[in-house]
Amino acid sequence: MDPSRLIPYPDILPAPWGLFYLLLVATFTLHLILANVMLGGGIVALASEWFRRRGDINGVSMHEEIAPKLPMTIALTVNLGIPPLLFLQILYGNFIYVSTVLMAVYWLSIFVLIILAYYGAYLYNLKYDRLGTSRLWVMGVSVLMLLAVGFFFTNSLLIMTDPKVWPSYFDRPGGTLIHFGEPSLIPRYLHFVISSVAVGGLAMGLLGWRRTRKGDVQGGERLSRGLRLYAGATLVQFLVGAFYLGTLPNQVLARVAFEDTAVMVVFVISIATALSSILYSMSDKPWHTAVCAVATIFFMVLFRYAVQNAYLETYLSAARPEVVLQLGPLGLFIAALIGGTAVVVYLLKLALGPRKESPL
Amino acid sequence: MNYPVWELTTFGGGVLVAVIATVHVFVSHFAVGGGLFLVLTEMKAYREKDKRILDYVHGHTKFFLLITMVLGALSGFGIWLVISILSPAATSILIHTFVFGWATEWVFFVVEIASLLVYYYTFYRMDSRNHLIVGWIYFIFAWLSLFVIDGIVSFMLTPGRWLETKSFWDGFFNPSFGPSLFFRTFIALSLAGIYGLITSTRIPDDALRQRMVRYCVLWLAAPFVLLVPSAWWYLQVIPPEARAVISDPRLTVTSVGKAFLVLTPVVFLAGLFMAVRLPKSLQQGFSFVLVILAFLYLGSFEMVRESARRPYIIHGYMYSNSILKSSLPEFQKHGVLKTARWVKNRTVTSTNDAAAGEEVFKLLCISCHSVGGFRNNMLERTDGMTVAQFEAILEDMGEERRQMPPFAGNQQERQALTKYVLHELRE
Repeated sequence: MDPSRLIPYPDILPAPWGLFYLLLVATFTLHLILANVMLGGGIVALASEWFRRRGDINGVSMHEEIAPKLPMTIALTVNLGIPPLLFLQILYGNFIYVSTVLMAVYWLSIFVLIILAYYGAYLYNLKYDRLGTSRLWVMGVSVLMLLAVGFFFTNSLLIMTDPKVWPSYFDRPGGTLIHFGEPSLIPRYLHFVISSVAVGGLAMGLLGWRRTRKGDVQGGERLSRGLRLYAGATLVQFLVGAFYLGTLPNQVLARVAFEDTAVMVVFVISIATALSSILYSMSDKPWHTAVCAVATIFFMVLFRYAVQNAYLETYLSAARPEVVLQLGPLGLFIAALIGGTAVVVYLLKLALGPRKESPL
Repeated sequence: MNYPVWELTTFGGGVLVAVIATVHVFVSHFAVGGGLFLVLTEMKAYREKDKRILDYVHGHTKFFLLITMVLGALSGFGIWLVISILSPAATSILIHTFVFGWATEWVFFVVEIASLLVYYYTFYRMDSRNHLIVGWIYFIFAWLSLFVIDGIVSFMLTPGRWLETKSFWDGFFNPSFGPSLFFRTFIALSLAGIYGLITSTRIPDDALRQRMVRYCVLWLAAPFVLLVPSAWWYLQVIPPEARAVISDPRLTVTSVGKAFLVLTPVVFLAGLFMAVRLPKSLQQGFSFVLVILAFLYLGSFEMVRESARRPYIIHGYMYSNSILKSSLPEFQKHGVLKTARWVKNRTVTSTNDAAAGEEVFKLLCISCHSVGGFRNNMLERTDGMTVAQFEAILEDMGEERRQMPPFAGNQQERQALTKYVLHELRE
C-alpha cells in the first residue's frame, strides 16, 4: 500500500508556517531543558538513595536538594510541554494524529504515568522520613514512569515521521504499535535519557555552587561530583549520538549532512558548544557549562527538526497547508504573553524579596 | 474520514472521554472557585485576627495544590490526549481554529502555576498585603483560563456565526458562551465550598470546626441562587434540535437530565444539612457523601451538554463520526469506503462483504457505540433484531433518530454493515 495515500489533508494555518516553527523550536527547547532536569534530577535522587543504602552519606543531602524541587520541576515541565505539542499539532497535525492513533494505548497512558510520577515525587518530598526503606522504591517508580513517558514520546515522533510503517495499522488497529522496526528508536531514546543524566548532573553542580556561595563546606564536593557526572554523560552522549546518526536512513543523512549547509553549520556549532561545556565542567565552572549546555540543546533541537523535515520532505511538500491569517487572535496571544511574563516577573520579585513575618 | 479509527470494543462509545472529562471538570472548576476561597478566607483570618483560620488556609492550600496542580492539570492534558486519538479530525479543527486561544490559555496557566507555588511556599513568610495580592493574581488568572476554555468548549455546542464566517471571534463569542461562563463560574464557587468541607471537617477544635463548616456551607449554597437562573439561560440559547435530543424520552440522556434536575436541590439541601452541629466523624463522612453527590451532579451536567450536541461533535458542522455535514451527500453517493482514506476495501463485493462491513462499522459507528461495553452497546442494542428492523434504523438515522447522524454510505455498504452487525459482530 502506498503510504502517501494515507496522509490526511492538513487544516488551514492561522499564521505563517515560519512563525509556528519558531514558536515550536523555542518552546520545545525550554520544555526539553526542563524535562532533562526533571528526569535527570529523579535519576540523581534515585542514585543517591541507592548509594545511601550502601552507606554513602551523600545520599541524604541529595534528598534535601532534590526532593522539594522535583514536584515543581514536573509541574513546569508539563506546563512547558503544552505549547510545543500545540504547535506540533498545528504544523504536523496530519502526521502526529495518525501516529498517536496507531499507538493510542501508550499515548493515552502518558497522562496517567505522569500523575503517578508526580504523586510519587510529592510523596518522596512530604513523607520522606515515614517512607523509610520504601523511599528507594517510590523514587524508582517515579523515575520508571518518567522513562516510560519519554519512550512513548520518542515512539510517537518516530511513527509520525515514517509513513511507511502506517499500513501496519490494518493488522493492528488496537493502537499498540511500537516502532521497533525503525533502527533509530533505541539510540534516539537513549540520546534523551543520557542527556537527562548529564543535565541532572549539571543541576547538582549548580546546587553545589549555590551551597558554596552560602559558605557550606560540602558545596564544593557536590559541585565537582555534579559536573563530573555532566562531563561523563556528555562524553557518552557523543557515542550515542554517533550511533543515532548511523541509524538514520541514507537519504535523511545525506539531506542534513551534505545538501543543506545551514543544517550542517547548526550541527557543527552544537558539537562545538557541547565540547566547550565538557571543558568548562572539567574546570569546575558551572555557569559557563550551563550556558554552553543550553546552547547545545537549542542547536540540537534545530538539528532535530531539520532531521524530521528531511524524513517528511516528500510528504510535506505534497500537503502544504493553506494560510488564512488571524491577526486579532495573534495580537491577543502576544498581549497575553507580554502581560503574563510581566506578572510572573512581579511574582518572582515578591517571592524573592525580603522575608516578613505574618501579622498573626 | 481523514484519519484512522482506534478500534475499541468494551471501552468504546465515548466512555474514556466521559470518565476523564468528568474528573477533570470536577477538579478544574475547584481550581477556579477554590482560588477565591483561599484569598477570601485568608482575608477573613486577618479581619478576625484568628491565627487558627490562617493555619486552616495554609493546610487547605496544600490540599488544593496537590489536587489541582497534579490531578487537575494532568487530567486536562488527558482530555487532550484522548480526544486527539478518538476524534483527531475534530481536535485538529479545534486546534487550528483556536490555536491562539489555546496559546493564550497556556500563558494564563503559567501564571496560575507560578502564583499558586509562590502563594503556598511563601505562606507565613510574606507580608499579608503582598501574599493576598499573590492570591488574587492566582484567582484572576484561573478565572481567565476558564473564560478561554469556555469559549472553545461552548463553541462545539453552538458555533453560531462561525459556520459562515470561520472567524475566531465568531466561534469564541458564540451564543452559549455567556450563559456557560456564568453557569461554570457559579459551579466553581459552589465546589470551593464542597472541597472546603473536606478539610474544614478535619479541624480538631470543635468550635472552630463548626464555624468553618458553616462558612463553607455558605460558599456552597450562595452561588446556587445564581446558578439556577444561569442554567435556565443556558437552556434557552442552545439550538432547538439540541433541546429536542435531550428531552427525547427514548434516550438515556433524558434520564441523566432528570438526575441533574433532581440532584440540584439534593446537593443544595445536603450542603445546608452540613451546617447542623454534628460530631466530627459524622461531618467528615457527610462531606465525602457530598463530594460524591457533587461529582454525579457535575458529571450529569457534562453528559447532558455532550449529548445535546448529538449527532454532531461540532454542531451543524461535523458529525460525531468525523464526517463533515457538507460532505455527507458525497459519502452517500460514492460510499464511505471510496471516500475514506484509512480503509482496505474500497468497494463491497460478494467475497469481501464481511471485511467491508467491519470497516463501515469502524468508520461510522464506533465513535458512539461500544461492543459489549458500557456505553451504547451495539450487541445489546441489536440483540434479536431482524434485517428489516436494522435497516429501518439506518433509514431513520438523522430523521426520527435525530441523535444519530444520517447513514453516510451507499446501498451496498448499508447491506454489508447490516450483515456485519447482525452476524459477524456477534461471533
